[in-house]
Amino acid sequence: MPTSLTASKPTPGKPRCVIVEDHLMFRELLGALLEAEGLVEVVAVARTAREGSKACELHRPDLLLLDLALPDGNGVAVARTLAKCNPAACTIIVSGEADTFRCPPALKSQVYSIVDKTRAFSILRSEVAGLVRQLVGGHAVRPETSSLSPREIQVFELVGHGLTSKEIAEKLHISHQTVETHRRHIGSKLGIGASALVSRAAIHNLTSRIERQP
Amino acid sequence: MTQGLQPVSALSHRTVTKKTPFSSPGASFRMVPPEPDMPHDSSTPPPTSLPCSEEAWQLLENLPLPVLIASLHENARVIFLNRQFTATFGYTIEDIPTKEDWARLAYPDPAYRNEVFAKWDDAVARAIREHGSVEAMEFQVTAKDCTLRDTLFHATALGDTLQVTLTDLTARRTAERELMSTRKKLERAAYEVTENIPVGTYTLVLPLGGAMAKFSFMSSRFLELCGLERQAAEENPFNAFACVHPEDHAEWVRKNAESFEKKIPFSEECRVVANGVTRWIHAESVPRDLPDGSIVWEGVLTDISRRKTAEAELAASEARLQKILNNIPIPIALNDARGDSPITFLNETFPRAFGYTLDDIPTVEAWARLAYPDAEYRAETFGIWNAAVEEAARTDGIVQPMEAHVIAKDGSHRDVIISAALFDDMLLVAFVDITARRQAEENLRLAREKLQRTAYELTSNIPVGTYVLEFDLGGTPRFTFISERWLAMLVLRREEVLADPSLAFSAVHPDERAAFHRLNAEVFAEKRPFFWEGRIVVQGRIRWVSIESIPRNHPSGGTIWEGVMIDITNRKTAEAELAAIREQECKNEARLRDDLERKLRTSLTAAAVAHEINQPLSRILLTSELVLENQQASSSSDPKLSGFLRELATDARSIVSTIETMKSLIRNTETAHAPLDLLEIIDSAILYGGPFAREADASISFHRPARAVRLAGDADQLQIALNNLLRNAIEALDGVGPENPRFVCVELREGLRQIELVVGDSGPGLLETGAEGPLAKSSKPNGSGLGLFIVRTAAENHGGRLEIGRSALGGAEFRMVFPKGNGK
Repeated sequence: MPTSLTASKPTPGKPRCVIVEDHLMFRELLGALLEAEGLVEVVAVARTAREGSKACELHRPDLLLLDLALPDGNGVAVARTLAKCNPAACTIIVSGEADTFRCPPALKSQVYSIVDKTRAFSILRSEVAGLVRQLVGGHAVRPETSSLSPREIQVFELVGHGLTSKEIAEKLHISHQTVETHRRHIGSKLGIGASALVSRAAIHNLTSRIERQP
Repeated sequence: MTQGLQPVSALSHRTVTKKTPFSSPGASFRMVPPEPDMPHDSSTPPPTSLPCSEEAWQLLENLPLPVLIASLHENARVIFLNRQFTATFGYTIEDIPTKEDWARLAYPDPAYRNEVFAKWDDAVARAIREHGSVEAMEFQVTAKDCTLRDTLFHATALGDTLQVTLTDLTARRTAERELMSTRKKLERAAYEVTENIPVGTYTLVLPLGGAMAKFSFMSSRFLELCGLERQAAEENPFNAFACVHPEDHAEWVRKNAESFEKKIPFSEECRVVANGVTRWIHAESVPRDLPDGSIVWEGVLTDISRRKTAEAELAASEARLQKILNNIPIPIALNDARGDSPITFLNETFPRAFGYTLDDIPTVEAWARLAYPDAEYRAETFGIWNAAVEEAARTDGIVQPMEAHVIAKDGSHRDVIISAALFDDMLLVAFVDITARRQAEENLRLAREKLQRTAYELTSNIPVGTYVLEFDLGGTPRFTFISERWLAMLVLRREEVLADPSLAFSAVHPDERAAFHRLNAEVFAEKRPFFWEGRIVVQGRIRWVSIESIPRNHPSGGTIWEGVMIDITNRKTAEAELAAIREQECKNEARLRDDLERKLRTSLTAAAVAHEINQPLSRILLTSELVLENQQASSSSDPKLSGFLRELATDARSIVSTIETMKSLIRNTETAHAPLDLLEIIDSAILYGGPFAREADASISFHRPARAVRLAGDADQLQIALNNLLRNAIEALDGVGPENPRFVCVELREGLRQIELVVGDSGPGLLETGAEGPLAKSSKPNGSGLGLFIVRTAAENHGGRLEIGRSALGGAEFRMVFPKGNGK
């Protein structure tokens, strides 16, 4: 385990991580959890917000595991510091008050997820793993369907399955014209033309299936 | 011929009696001056050519006219000058021995001299030629003292001599010149006066025979008034008519023509427009016959604009006055105070008030007859009135107002107050109709009488007891008035109270009696108003009453207390009830407050406890899970330990779940209300639900509105509720096969009156969607059923509700519906 505020030599290929947690045991446990997975390299751990900010400035980590209730204030300050020194970095908040945490709008793109401390073991590892996959493969992105309405999602899914507008209309018990309107809206929201819509939907469908594979 | 002639000067010194210059009439003679030194009795005979006797010379010498005799030959030697000549002109014969000398001295101006002698010599030559007299001629002679003398020369040639008689006309000519000068001055003055008087004057001559009339005189003012140039008027006198105002022109020309034709004086007023200014003028013209048969019209034009303006103003002022009088809402009449007192004006209100018009009442007498048909009353009224008018005439002109009873044209009776003011001989009379007031006064009097009559009844019927209690000087009380109501309130009989006034106090509640008497004594001593509220006991029943009494002095020296007693039992009861309610309310409020405080305290404590438990619990959980994982990975794992660890983790998770639910329930017991943006809550809840969704291979979509959706509410409560809905939806996808989409969709629908926060899923949906169905029990095999309860409570805490239905995605749909602008 590296010392908290000493810049370490980065291991090539592994995202670098800073843990900010005031409770010693939990801090050690989190460290152990991540080490065991071997997905990230923990470059520094900090006990306070001040230490956390310093560590972020020093190491400019790719990932920040952040507790909110710190002895010297709210952990959000550390996330802000990281956003400044490494705008591409991601933060996973690990907190006992995760269910009532409201993410400041400025940090929305930076905060990848919020994990309840009591679910650290089950969720945190998969979250970190998912994030690392995205970090290594490129930028963390939101699913492309996140801006679509329920009906649009249905239409998008069915287009991906290779159904025609007429077939979709029959399946959803709506008019052909309505399906066409949905397709137009989907294209507009995803920034693609009518012809690209079919291929994009097919790719989405395929990716989802692959991801769902156990 | 000149020999023997004595110098004239010498002659002048000689006695006149000795001279004999005259010859007999018709005889030829020469003018020979007498020898100066020669006495008249000298022997030398006088020149033969002077056949004069001494008497003749004497006569010539003393003639009161200057006489000169000169020779017609011998260089026209002057032969003789008489005394008057020298006296008049100063010259002696020595000064003017010859004609030439005379000419030089008498006419020093050579030009004049030549002119004089050209005429004279010519006349003399003609006279000699015709044997007649030289025609009389007047010349201006310069005397020796250099004065100028107007002199008339008469001359006759007598033989070789020329006898010249000179008449000094200087005085006359001077007078004549002065007269002429004075005349000229006078003419000038007359002209100037004519020109400068403020009226225009002219003289128009109509020649005999119908030739065109012509102005022989026009004063500048005349031209100015007519706006004419002198030349234009002289060329055509009718130009003077051009200035007459177009509206007056026709009449003006007609009148002029009439006057000219009939030769009668003309006098007219009209408007003239000259140089853009309109004036009123008055023209007057009088004809006069001239000896030659022509007619002269001498005229005067006077500018009367000011008078006309004043007249117009006066007329306007009169019209205004009349208008004012007409608009005054009281009848007004104007009558002449002289003669038979004609009424000259009635304002418009007058006929409306009395019905009479000027035709009905042309005189005051007519008015008197109609308005006061009763002769006696009329005489009485007018007696007073006339006296008042006379008094006004003597003093300030204001007639003392009087009241009278007038009969209107329709026969109705009117009470009026008549007031008047005297202006010179004009009486302005105003009538104020007080009929209604008199009627009102009468009605009031009747009402008062009625009121007095019913006062007693009223007093006894009003729902309060009244009384009048009199104390004489000795302090003995006596009721002088007691209302029935008062007696009834105390259940007393009139006679017994009158007999014993102290009975009135006997009903006072025993507990209050001492205080009541004390207050009575104080108030009585200080003679100030009495007020008491308290209990009385009547026939065993307690009543609340208020007694109020006000003192006033009795003429006899005692005091009168007029009092009122009101039963206020109902009010007191109501007050007591109100007080009890208030007290109860206060208690309730205090209890609620305590309750809330207790709840809050509990909530905070519980939250703190939950947090405190969660902290070590999460460590236990993480540790046990890590160790278990290590155990399972290790070759030398202890199955027993693994079992314990698994059990520990399961228990811990169970505790976590319970605490979470507990926390949520506690959180819902108190609802804070602060402005919030639902989008922020949804974003955060989706972020929180993200790991669960990913764990379940599901994706959460949010159809996001463009702008913030505001609500007043408890952000934590709503976020926890939404967390529950999302978790619920994600868990519902457990039953979905890998072929089907795994979607959770969040929507925010903003209507006019409500906001819907909707969570739908593509799961299998609810089997039972009854109102209580899904909320009453858990929709999941191991759920506590409290998740939806928490959601519903949160919605209700915000004045909203939870609705359940089917989602477009195929699964269930949960809608938290909030009223808009609820504030709570």
